[in-house]
Amino acid sequence: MANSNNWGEIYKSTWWGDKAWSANTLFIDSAPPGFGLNLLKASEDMDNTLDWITRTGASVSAQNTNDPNGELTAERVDFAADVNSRIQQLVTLEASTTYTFSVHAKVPSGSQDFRLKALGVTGVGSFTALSSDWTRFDFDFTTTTAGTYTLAIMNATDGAARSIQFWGAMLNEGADVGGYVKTEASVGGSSPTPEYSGFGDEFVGVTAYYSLRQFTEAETLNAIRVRRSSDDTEQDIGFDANGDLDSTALTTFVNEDYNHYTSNWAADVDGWTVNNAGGGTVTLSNDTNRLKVDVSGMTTTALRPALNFPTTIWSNITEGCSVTITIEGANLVVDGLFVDGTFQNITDHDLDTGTFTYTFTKGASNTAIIYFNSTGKGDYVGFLESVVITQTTADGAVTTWYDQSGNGNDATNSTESEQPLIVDGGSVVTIDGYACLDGDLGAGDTMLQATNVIDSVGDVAIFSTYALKTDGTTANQITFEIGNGTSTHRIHDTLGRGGAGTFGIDIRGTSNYDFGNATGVAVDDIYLNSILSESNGFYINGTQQTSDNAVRSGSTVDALTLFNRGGGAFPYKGKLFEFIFFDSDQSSNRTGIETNINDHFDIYT
Amino acid sequence: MWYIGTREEVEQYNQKVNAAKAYKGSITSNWANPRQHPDGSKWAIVANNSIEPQEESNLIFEVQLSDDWTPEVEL
Repeated sequence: MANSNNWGEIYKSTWWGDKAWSANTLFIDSAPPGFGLNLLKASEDMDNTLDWITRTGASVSAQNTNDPNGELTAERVDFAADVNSRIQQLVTLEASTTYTFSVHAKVPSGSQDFRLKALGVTGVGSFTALSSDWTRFDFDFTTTTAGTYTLAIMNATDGAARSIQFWGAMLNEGADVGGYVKTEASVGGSSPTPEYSGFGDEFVGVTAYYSLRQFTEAETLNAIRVRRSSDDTEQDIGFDANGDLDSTALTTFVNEDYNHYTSNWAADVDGWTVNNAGGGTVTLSNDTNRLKVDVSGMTTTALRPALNFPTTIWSNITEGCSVTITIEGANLVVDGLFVDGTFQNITDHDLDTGTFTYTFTKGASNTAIIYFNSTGKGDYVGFLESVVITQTTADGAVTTWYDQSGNGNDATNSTESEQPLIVDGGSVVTIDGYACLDGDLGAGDTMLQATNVIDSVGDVAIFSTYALKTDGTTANQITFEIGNGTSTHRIHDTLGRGGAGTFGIDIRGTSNYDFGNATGVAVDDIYLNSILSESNGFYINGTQQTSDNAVRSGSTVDALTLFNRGGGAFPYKGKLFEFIFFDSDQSSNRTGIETNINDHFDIYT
Repeated sequence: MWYIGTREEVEQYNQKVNAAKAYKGSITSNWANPRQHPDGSKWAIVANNSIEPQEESNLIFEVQLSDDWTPEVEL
């Protein structure tokens, strides 16, 4: 290839930097930052724990097979049966820069798939049908901000357990894969700490995971879908940088100002009517975009003329609405509002400005009336300039509690009155600072449901974290059920089973297990119930209540209902923080799982 | 808060609320599910604070359902 710069092939890089080139100058320069460099460490030592981190059950067998050069340096990674199983390395990268992540891979036998991913960055490299010959796979991505990124070699999306041999991992700057550069492993120091560690980064094979903490750093997930009461629109809510529910995004969405009504008196009286003429005659008309109130024939000052708000504006107003009434004319003095059966005296507003704001909470009544002060007045004419009703805070109801496990077992409810609240009157519902779903704040009996959660008849393990409310100690509240909503259910957890203030657990199968007298349920304390259907029994805050065994059976497809039994009628009037379900025996992992949950929620000592 | 009546009456009330709400979200599409009394004699539906039953309705308003609406958990 001809070189127009007349100095041969000394410099072949396509990068010219920002040097001041001239005809008499020859720079022999390095490539741009990152070009020709491998930004990963230990490129042929994936078993080195000072550089590589194994997550979600992955393990590395060192020097398992010959590399492409015939040397015994390649590793085998055994991915656990989990979509998030992976090995990863932390790298500091520049902002707005494209990088290429590559690795050589082959399989010991058969055909396997895997993925390359930069966690938190859009896009993934998915590679299928690996053969027993070495092939180099690469995936490029572009950063947004400068900082620490996690580069992962991950299990395929089917989440099956598999073994794949890897060699020569590399990260180079640019959209094209660079020539492979070996890098050495770190010596000394300590193992790196992951940027975030969720439940799904520690434990394998979760069937359904409902929580307000992030399940894994490997995926960008949403926690819940929320309907705001002001206008019934919905939005997904995810997590903040710490892996906690993004309360800022949640309250910003729920409390977004919503205009319920702005008067429009351009063409007519806009639905306003006379409620009470106050002993005289009140005539309403529109006058240059105002509502003209013409009062005449007043025979007594004991009665006050009054106007009705248009009834249609009340149908969707819930609570916390700001009502701004602008008046004109010293003769027309607003005396009060009659709202929800109560007269609200508002005569001390500032008449000099002619404007005042009155805030009230909408209740059960569909009636609102503006009263005028007629004391000492004869006939008079005044004007209402405008009436604006704005909702500044609202409730947030959970329409979907997303299953973060990746198995698609989302718990949903399309019925408004049955949706638990996550925002109450503008504020996130919490206990001890932990966000939770409240089953007692909505209009009716709460439940969220996922269908077809179980597809086998083997063991189950359930870890539920919850708290009672003050009025939640009555009997027969079912915190969850797995089953069909009838007496043939598989399993349910009941508060008040042995009377108010008790726990209970009921497992149906070839031999029914019924335990209903664990006592000491305190209000507003967080509890962790662990239920293992086979071999371990029932635990409260890590303490075994019974070791009875129960064998569950039944149909192969069952629903999961949270906050109630599947058929309703047994609503749980408390709060749920987290619900973790395994469709497998977890007796060997129980203490580790309980420790993980307790470390996060600080439930017991 | 609840309205008590026949199944037809509570379903009509639910339809009225649904029509008034005109849900805008992608999931929510229903106000409430009617609930049958354990003896099968009547139905209840959650009351919407802002919407009253149709004028010809015989629905009865109750602040709370009485205990007989809640059966014991079967043993």
